[in-house]
Amino acid sequence: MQQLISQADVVEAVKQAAAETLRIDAATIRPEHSFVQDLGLESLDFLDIDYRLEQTFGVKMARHFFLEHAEDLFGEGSAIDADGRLTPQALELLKSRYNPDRLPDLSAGLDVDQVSGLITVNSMSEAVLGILNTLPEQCACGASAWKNGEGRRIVCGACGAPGVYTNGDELIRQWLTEVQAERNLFSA
Amino acid sequence: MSRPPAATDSQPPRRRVVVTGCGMITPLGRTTAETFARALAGESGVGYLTRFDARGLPYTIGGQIPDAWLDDQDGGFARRHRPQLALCTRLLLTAAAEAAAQARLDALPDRTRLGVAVGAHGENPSVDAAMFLHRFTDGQGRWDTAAMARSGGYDYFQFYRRKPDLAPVTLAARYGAGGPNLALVSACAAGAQAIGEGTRLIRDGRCDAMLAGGAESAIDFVGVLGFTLLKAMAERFAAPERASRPFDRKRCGFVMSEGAGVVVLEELDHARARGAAIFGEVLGYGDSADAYRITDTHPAGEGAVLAMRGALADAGLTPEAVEYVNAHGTSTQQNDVTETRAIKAVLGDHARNVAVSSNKSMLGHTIAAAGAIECILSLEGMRRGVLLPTINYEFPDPKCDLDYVPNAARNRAHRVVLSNSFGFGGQNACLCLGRWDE
Amino acid sequence: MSERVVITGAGLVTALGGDRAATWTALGGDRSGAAPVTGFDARGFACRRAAQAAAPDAGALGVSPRDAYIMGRSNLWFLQAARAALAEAGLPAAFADGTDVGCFAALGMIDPLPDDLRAAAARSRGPDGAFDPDRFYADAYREIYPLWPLAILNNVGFCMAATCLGIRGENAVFASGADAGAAALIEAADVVSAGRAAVALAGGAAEAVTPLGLARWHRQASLCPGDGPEPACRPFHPVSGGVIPGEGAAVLVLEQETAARARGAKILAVVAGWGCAGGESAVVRAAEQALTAGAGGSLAVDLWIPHGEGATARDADEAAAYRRLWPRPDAAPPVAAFKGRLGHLGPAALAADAALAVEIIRTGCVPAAWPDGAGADAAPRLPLAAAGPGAAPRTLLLGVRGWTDAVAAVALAAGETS
Repeated sequence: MQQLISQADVVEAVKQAAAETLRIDAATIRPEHSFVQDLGLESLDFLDIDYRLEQTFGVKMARHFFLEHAEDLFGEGSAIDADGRLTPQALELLKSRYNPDRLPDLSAGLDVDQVSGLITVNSMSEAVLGILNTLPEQCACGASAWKNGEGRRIVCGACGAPGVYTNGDELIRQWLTEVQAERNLFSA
Repeated sequence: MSRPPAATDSQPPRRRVVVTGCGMITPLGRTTAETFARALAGESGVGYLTRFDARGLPYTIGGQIPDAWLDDQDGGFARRHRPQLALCTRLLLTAAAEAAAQARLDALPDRTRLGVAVGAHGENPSVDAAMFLHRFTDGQGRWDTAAMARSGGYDYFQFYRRKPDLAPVTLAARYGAGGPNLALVSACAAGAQAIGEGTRLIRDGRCDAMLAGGAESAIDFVGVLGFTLLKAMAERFAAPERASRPFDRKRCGFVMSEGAGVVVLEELDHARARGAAIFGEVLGYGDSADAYRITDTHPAGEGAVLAMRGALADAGLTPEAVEYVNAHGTSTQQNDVTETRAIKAVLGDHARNVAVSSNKSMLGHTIAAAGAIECILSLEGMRRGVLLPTINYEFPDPKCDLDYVPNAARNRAHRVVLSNSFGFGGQNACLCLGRWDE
Repeated sequence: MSERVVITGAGLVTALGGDRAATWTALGGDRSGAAPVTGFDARGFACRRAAQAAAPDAGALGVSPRDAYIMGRSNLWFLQAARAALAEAGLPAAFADGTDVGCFAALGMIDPLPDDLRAAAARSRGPDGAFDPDRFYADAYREIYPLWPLAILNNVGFCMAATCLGIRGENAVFASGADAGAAALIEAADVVSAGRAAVALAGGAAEAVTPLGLARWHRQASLCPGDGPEPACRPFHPVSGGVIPGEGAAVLVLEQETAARARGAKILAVVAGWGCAGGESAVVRAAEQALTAGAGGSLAVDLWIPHGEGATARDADEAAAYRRLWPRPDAAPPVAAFKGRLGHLGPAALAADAALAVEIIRTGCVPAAWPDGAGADAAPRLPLAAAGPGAAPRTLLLGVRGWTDAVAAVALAAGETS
């Protein structure tokens, strides 16, 4: 768990990235804004924002959504059913991954196309923070002397090497594996 | 926008443009007949990439043309000029040789009235070229141009191979074509635009015959990397041959492929006068721009609608005349749903009666060649009275609810086809093609 | 041709000015736009000068920094010229429903700049400094900006301009030399003439002069060596000096004459004919097509603006064609050429000459072909038009020749009702 970069820092950086991508004033963006529904983000814009965050923090964001990873790990049809709707297990995953206060009413289920609408400034900030928090205790040089480097990057105070993080896709797979071990949502 | 063709007092009837030769090389075959036969059987030309070292990239497949198929069909012309020729130009020459032989182009009386229109983008820079260039820049925007110039600037032949206009010019040189020479670079719409522009040149009397088509080979480091960065290609699939699944709910991107298609377009009376066999007619051409966003196609497919309506108006036909749509059908989430919407917008209730299929389910996406290859497969389908299938169609998508000729070819006589090609960046082209009945 | 096509707007960006008026004023003097290459150290190249245009102001064009990156300098000049042309024509800066508006663009080569790949390359180097694919694929490739692939699309200039201007009608993008510019103008004129678009933009953008671009120039043209103050490119001079790479863009607005007059638009010139050809005697054949395309027989030419790039051998070809086209010296038109002043604008060259033809028709003046009065003592290979007022040509024939020897010609005429 790193403590050099705060949640507020990350939220600010996500707003900044979104503002640059969408050509809007960062001050108009609120943490609860949905990128798709409130800010008008389209498909390639997500790549743009992810890249800006990667460059800002020196991390690698996930290229794939957790539903795709679930399909890979637990088999085809495990997260998305034949009609393109989320399975009950996927809905469970959704509830544990996103702040339930910010989720829509899921009683009628959810179409896979609606899922990108759930991504908010907050949820993306949490994803970034999750990756930043994989910073190990020690740098490869042995020192435990992480510090804030240029911009918003963490570097080793001893050897100057950049912080090393688990990449976003790997982190999702770890999370899915843990959830499965704990709750056994997907039967083998 | 478009005016239907009509003879008026002041204007003579419009010149009709027919197809007197077809040639193609695709991952499914060296010729039109070979490709068509395998497409008819619902085979896929997609496999794991072998052309270059792609290990580690999330995208690993493609529709490749075996090296053994190259350069053996054109009397050695391509072989002799190989160092200067981009792979796409070698493919183009192979396809053109078939088309020219079929049209007996060698017997054409006046080569100054023969034009060329080709959609192609030349060759991408190689890793070697990119790394070579890095030797001359210090990373701060400063170049050691003296050293670069001493070294030859950059690789001599790649300079020629990269130029898109070398493809049509090479074709003109090979066939002595002294007429207009067009190099179109409108991405995935380029092949269809070349045939559309070629049709217009003939109609307007600016030439009597055209070699028109498209060629692409971007299965290389930069091409694959570029579309990987854009996350536009299929990365998740049960097997390579099942990755291209247009209109299927589990589609997740296109499959990059390579190939070339060339038609000989000819003014009808010109073709008849020299006794050329006629394989079909180009009835109309429409094109448009999305003018929406560089990063996304218009969600309602407005540009696609304009192109299809334009082609129909140009042909002087109503939507009810359309019996089959050879879809752009790339297998991306976005294209297939917007294209379905656009087809429904253009054809209205009639869309329910019209078969729609995507050759890309079998061939992958041949980018600049796609429009030309799909034009020829459409003509061949009309000649034989058969609709090629959309393979890998397993899970219906509620948003894609037309008749996609799933998985098996279908015998059906048909006379009028729309062939769609929608380019990345928002350039759209549609050809309206007609069966030829003597 | 079914309907006469006219030019109602002509935007021009060159080394001599950011718009047509500034360029024209500068051409009235005797300055050349050629100057030593700036922006990078060109030592090592044989030719170290170019006619470089001022960097485009993306913000003023309403283009965001991200889109400006995707477009690059060359495509921003295209947009700049297009905006100026639309403004002159009295048409909207952005069409609300542009389905009746076409655009035909000639665009040059795009080089993947090492700067875009630098971070990925740096992280891909193995211990020996060579490219290590394993490092590249592990994650180094993700240092590349994911929208970089858009910036290397050959048609991105058109796509961005269409988006900015709301153009949704007939279109095509042609590559990559001066002949592509002719294809753009001819196809646009054809589309307008046939009524498939009410308005069409036609033009092109020269490639920005970059290290790779300059390397390519050296491969494809006989360039003028050096970077000294001496006069460089002098088309049709016995010692013509060689080609100077030019930067900029030119875009024309085309409409049917009846429609333009009906809406009260000013007619800058009539597109009176066009032709294109390749191979043997292509210059002559293209010119003959252009001059006989309209009704009423062959046009008489008052001024010829040939390709005239300043390379000795290719200029000599055009001089020979001139004598075949006009065998009687007393009936042969004078000749003008601007590549010695503006550099060779490649895909934009024809539209640029057309924009200047508009000024020649308007003012009756012809700018000097050679800069700085250079070589006034030497007799040109062709009778160059006397600089300044007096010529008042009404019918002008323009010519271009691509790198690959594809040739085209376009006839323009003054806009009075005929």
